Amino acid sequence: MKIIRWPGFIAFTVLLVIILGGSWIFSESIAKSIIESTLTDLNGAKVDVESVDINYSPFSIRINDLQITDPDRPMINTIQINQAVFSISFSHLLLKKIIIDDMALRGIQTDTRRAQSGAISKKIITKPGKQPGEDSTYDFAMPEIRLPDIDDLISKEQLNSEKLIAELEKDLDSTQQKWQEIRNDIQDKNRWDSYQLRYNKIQTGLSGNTAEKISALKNIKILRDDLKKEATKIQQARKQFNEDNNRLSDEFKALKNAPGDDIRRIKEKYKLNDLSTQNITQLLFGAQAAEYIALADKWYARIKPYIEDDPEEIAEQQAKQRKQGQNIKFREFNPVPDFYVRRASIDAQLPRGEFTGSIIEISSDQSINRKPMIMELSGRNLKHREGETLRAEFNYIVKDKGYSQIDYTIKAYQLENFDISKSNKLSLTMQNALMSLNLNLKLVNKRLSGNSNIDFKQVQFETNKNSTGQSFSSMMATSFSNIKKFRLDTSFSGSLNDLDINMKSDLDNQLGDQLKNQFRKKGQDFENNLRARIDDKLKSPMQKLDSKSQMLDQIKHDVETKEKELSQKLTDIENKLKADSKSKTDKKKDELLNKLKLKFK
Amino acid sequence: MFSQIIKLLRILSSETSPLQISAGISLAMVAGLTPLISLHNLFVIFILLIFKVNIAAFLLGLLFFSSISFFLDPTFHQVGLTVLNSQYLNELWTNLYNISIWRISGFNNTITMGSLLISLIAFTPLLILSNYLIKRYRSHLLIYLNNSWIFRLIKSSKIATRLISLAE
Repeated sequence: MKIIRWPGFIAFTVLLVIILGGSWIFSESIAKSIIESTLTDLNGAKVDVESVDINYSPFSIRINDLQITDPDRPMINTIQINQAVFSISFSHLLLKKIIIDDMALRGIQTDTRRAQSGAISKKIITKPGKQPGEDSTYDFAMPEIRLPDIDDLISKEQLNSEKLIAELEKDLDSTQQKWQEIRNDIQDKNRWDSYQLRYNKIQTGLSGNTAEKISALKNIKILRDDLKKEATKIQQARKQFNEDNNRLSDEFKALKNAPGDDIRRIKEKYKLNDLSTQNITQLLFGAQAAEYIALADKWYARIKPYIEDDPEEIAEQQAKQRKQGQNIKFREFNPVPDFYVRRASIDAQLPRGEFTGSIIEISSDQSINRKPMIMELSGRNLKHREGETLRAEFNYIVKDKGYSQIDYTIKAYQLENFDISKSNKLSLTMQNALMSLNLNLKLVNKRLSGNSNIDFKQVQFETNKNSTGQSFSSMMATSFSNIKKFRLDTSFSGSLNDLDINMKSDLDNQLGDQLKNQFRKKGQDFENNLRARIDDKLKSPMQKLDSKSQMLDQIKHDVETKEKELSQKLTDIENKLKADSKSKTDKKKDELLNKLKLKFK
Repeated sequence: MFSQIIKLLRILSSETSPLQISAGISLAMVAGLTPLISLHNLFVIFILLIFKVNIAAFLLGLLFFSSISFFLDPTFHQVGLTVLNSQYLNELWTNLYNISIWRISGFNNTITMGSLLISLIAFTPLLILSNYLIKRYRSHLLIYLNNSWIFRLIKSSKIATRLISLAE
């Protein structure tokens, strides 16, 4: 019996030839299909390849017209590469490892239009696209510090001045009434007539006989005592007047200060004292920064699976292992990562110019090749700028101590019509400016830190204010027109979804000085207006008070006149009494002298 | 299922050498228990086509062993894991791991290693046992059945003929 089956041998050989030949003939189509399906799965949207050319000696693959759809915009390619050429190690490819010694990406373009939608049926993006006009990130919360309407304010606000006027008027009335009563009492005509009558009678009596003189002297003493009582009464009245005067004077003084106090209180209430500049930089550029952070977050989410271990993917791998067994890894004599590109040269034609550079040490496991991935790009023949460079380092050699670092510079970028704010309160556009940027970012343990320094020169702002001359927006618009250069320093720290952004700029100082002056002037004008309105409101009551005060002065004057009269009268009486006393003494002296003369005769 | 049984009975009753049938069954065990698309199965197909192994027995065996392999995978995984993690064999595996052809063979996969190891161990015993059983079947059971009146009745009946033709 023959053991060997020759027809079988021929069949096996034919089968082998068919498999190998088929693979060779259809290798390019198979490679195209594998590249498209693998990249589509990774990207989440369609990836198209026009054709794939395979060269076997040396083994290399050339991908023509690679189009990678933006998952969020299916009609746009995030990246389109005209030609990607790889020199692949065939021996490693048999070991399911993609080791590329040299890779060249030529004719890279971004944001190109697609002929057909790149959305994949299993992942339909339903994110509503933002309309340019409704882009809220360009808007910012303009502080509403419009000065209140004075008429409205005066009618609404209870003025302390008015209250004091009412109180003073009441006090003046009661004081006036009291004083009038005192004056009436002091100027009681009947009484004073009776005093005058008694005085006249005394005068007559003094020039009469002895009995009349004695009676007159007796009456003059009584009159003197009565008049002294009147004087005491007048003194008490004067004392009362003084007390009342002091009190009223204090009340007048308080009333004089009241409008000032009212103005201070109103300014305090309506925060008119806080008309100082806020952190204008944060206000203006905060939203812009947040937009760039959101963009960085989006790109980080895309590259995250390649630089970090995804727990979901690990769990998926473990589940797969249980079904398909586990591939045990042994020590490799010449270890290489599953995916490794020693060097990739990049040549991109972007709308803003040509960019050339390289990425070295692209690796799926940096702990094996022990070198960080470094990307360096620089621009030439650039539009609107003198230079642009990017250097990025992704160092995950030791995973726990891994970091990503990006240094990005733009030199003398000619900014044109750069919208800072599309706020309906204040639309602010940097019409022209020369900008230089230096950005340094570092991502360690999912925490971002870094800073950016931006110099703006030859700045020309354009503002469209849709507000009246009193608003903050209007004042800002005026202030911006005088800014010609400024510097913006930003520092970042925190996780990407909770990033703390701190912005500093001399714009604050420049704007601040101008705004402060404007605020001060507006505040002063407002205060003057308010004072005038309050004075106006108080004018009539104050006049009334003045007239009442004059009346009191008149009463005081009357009482003082009366006091003078009384004082004169009293002096007269006192003189008379003194004269009487002297005549009596002289008479006694004469009598004694006569008696003495008679004795010696 | 009926047609498979008829086919098996026809093979067993044919003039084919029992060794060729049992070799087909044993090779089917190797190809059926291990992952089908593997480098070693190319070698199995090579042997199958080059040497005079009964292809029908191989295909029937492949169907059978592929069906039961699903239930045996956890066992294969455990066996493969133990063997591949063995300290004594580590140097061997490391050396093989650094040779491309062995890496392509996927020997470091626990299920591949476990199933291949078990099927290779079982290969010779199955070959000998099946060869013995086929011979016993032909010398005793087949003669007895051919002489029995029931079998002759069935063979001569139109229904049986019809069923066999349908199965074929």
